Amino acid sequence: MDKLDTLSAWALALLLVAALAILFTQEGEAGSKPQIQETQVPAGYVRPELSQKISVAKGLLASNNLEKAEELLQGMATDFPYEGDVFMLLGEFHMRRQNPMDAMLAFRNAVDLNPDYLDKKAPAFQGKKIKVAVEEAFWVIQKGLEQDPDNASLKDTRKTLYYMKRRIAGSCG
Amino acid sequence: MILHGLIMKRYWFVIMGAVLGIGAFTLSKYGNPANTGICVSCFMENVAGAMSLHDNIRMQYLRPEIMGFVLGAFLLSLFRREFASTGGSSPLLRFLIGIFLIIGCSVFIGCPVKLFLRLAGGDIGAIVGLAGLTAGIFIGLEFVANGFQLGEARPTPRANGFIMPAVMAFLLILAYIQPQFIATSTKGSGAQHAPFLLSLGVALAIGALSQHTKFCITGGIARIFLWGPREIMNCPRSTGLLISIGSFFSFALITSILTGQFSFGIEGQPSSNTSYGWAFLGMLLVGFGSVLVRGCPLRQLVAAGQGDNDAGVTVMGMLVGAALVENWNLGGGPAGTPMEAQIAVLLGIGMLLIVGMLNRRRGYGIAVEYQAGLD
Repeated sequence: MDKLDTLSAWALALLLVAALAILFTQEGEAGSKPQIQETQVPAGYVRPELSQKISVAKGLLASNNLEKAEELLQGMATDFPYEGDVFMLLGEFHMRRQNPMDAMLAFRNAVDLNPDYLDKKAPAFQGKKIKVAVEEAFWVIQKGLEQDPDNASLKDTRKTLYYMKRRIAGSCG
Repeated sequence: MILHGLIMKRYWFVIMGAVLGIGAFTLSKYGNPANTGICVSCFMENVAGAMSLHDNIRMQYLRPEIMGFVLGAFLLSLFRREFASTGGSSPLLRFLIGIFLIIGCSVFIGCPVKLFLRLAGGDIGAIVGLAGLTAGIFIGLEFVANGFQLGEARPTPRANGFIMPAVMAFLLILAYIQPQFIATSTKGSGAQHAPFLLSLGVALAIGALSQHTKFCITGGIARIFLWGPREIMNCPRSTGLLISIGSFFSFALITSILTGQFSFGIEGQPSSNTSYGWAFLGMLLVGFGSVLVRGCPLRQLVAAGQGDNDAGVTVMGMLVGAALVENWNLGGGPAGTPMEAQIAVLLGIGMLLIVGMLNRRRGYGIAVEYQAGLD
């Protein structure tokens, strides 16, 4: 065994330990892929109950009846946690309340459940709406961090903001 | 006359980089995903999806770029009488390394060509990938300089060399006529593509020029370690690969700025994430593997086009790797690097170390098959 062999053997041992450590601690930075909408229900299937509630929520938002819309949407988010449409509406609701940070967090849930909202070629595309929320959230976070640079909650939300910016920028995967 | 010949040769290295840099950002301007005008690993995943080797409905498209690289190299090598069918240099090992090349690229979210496109697009986070690639190349060269060998390739019957170009020509016909059994994404990055003829034209030019100049990203960086500044000073007597890489980056940067695709920064960049450690290791895997199989993923496609059956086997491994990446969730994404991909990268580097250790003739220097282009 020469020097290169010895170094290789040490490197192998280190890699093995690292791989085992990851396996046993399950410390994937991103974890598994989020379950996307298509896997939850058969293609083309629309739940009648959900569809009806979505129509009602849209009506409430259009008529600016925000209190009732909030109540309905929070309930829907609990009852249908895998439906991106619900979180898109929740995001819209927060935008109407002029709360872009919560809107962005809701849009993040929606996009993780169904990437079509950011896909220009998909009928569900609502990228412009999401982009506006992210841009407005950016200014709110900036302002907040200027006033309180150690605010952990804002720093955490900023990570989501950067994630959303990456999602909007697109990817080959 | 001799001086004129030398200048002309140096000129080709610059043209090579220019065509790749301008071509890539033109393709992303006309439809390919952002900063992904050319990406061998992403496109391999698209091709694997189109052949139903995986079921990600957003990653299915027979990218004419992949076929164009091989066919461009094939046609020019025939024209220049450089087409030579060779093979027999540890094909199964190359197949395995081909798989890990794509896994490494997918963790970084891009092949070495895309690494430079990301940098030229203003994504300074990609510097981590460049550092990883360089580290991997350095490790690979340590093995090569200390007697690593996969066995010398021998001439094979001419028909063998025609297999890969024929397969690619067949796939190109399928891409054009789009039969039902070929899957095509209607959304996602698979649905984002430049016009067919534009993609094919750019790829044919890149394939042909790569064949002519022996362009290789990892090869160019490797020569920094081998020759240092002499690599550039001695061009064209040396390989001139670094000149091509410099030209590629410069023209890509100019084109990205002129076409409004330049966005300087580290946050919110296309095809990026914040898993910098894994991006480093992913590209280290690619650099290390590419040195062992004598060329980056693009170089493997080009070499396969000019009759190198060993490169053809590596390309097949890359195709299988692309399918595995999608089926087993082995690639990075905007959210980061999944655990499966982390394990795969570590296993890949470990496997290359074992391959390196088992295939060394201790006490010997650079094996004959690695000396081409170094003299």
